[in-house]
Amino acid sequence: MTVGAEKQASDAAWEFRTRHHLGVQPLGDLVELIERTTCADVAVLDPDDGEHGLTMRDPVGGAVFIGIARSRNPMRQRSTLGHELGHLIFEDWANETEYGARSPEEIRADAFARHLLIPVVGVREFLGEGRPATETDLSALVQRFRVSPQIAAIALYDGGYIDEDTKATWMRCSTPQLATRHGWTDHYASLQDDSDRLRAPQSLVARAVTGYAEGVVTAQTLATLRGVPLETMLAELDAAGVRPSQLEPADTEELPDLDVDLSDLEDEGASS
Amino acid sequence: MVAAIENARAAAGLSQRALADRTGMSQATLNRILAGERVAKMTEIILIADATGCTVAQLTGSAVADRVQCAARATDGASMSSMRQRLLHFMELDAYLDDHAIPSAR
Repeated sequence: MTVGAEKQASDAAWEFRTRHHLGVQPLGDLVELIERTTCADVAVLDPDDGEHGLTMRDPVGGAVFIGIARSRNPMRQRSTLGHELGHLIFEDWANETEYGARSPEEIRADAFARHLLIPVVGVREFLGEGRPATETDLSALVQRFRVSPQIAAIALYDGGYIDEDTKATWMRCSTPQLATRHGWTDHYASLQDDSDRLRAPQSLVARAVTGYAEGVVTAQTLATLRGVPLETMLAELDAAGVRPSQLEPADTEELPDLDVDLSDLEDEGASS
Repeated sequence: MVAAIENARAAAGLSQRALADRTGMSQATLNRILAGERVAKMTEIILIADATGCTVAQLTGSAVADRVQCAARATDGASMSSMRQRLLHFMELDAYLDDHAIPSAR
C-alpha cells in the first residue's frame, strides 16, 4: 500500500473516533456503533461461503445497508465490519464490482479497519512505553481490542514494541491458540457465540413493525425480515401488544347524500 | 426472476411444498416456475410475494435493483449473489415503506 493511502486510512479512523467521542478504548458492539453513528443499517446474515461483507447504497433514496456473514471467527467479523465502515466513509461506490479483487479501495478499507479497531495510541496507553512486548502482551491486546493476532502484531510493530521478525512470527498465531495458552478460552467461546448469531437491520425492522401496525405489511414480511418462523413473529408481536389497526367504518349518517341516476340500468321493456 | 423467487422462498424459511401450500398453487406448477420452464403469471407472483413476505418489486426486478451501488469483501471468488439478494430485499422493503409514508425509525 502507498504511504498516502495508509495515512489516509489512519487519519480517517482517528477522525471517526474523535467525532464520536470514542477515545482510544476498545470498541464494543460494532453493529450497534455503525447503526448509531452512520446512516447505515447492519444485518448479520447466513450467506454462501466466501461472502464476508457487502455494503449497498441506493443513490436516489440514500438508504444504505451493510450485510455481514455470521461467523465462528469473531475477530475476522469485526475486521469485516470495520472494512465495510471504511468503504462507507470513503464512499467507495461502484456500479459494477469485481468482488474480492485487491483494488486500492479494498486495501485502504482494510487499513482503516486496523487503525480503527486498535489505534497505536491505544496500545501505548495500555502497555506503557519503553519496553519490548511479550507474547502475553500480544494475547492481552487481542483479547482486549478483539482483533486478530495479525492486526495486533502490526499495531505492536507500528508502536515500536517488536521488530519485523517478531511481527512475522506473531502474525502466524491464531486467536484460539493465544486464548488456550493464556487462559481465556471461555471468553473466546462467548465471543464466537455472539458473532455466530443472525441479526436483522434494526431501523428497518422498527419501521416495518410500524408498517405492520398501520396495516401496510404483513406479519410474514416481519418474519422473513427477522429470519424467524411466522408463529414466533406473531407470538412476539402479540406479547408486545402490536396489532394491525382496524379501519373504523365511518358513521353513515354523516356521509353526504348521493344523487345517482340509475335509469340506464332499468329494463327498457319495463319502462316503456 | 427464478433466482429472486428461490431466494425469497429461502429467506422465508419455506420448503417448496410449504410455499405451494401457502400460495394454493400446485407443487408441479411451482416446480416448473422454479426450474425456469414456465414464466410465473402476475397473479402467481402476487401470491408468492404474499406467502414469502416479499414485495412484488423484489420478485420482478425494479428500478432500485438496477441503480444500487455496492462495495464488497469476498474471498474464493464468491459471487456475492446470496448477500446481494438479501440486501436488495431490505432496499425494496425500505422503498415500499417510503411509498406508504411509514416514517423512518431514526
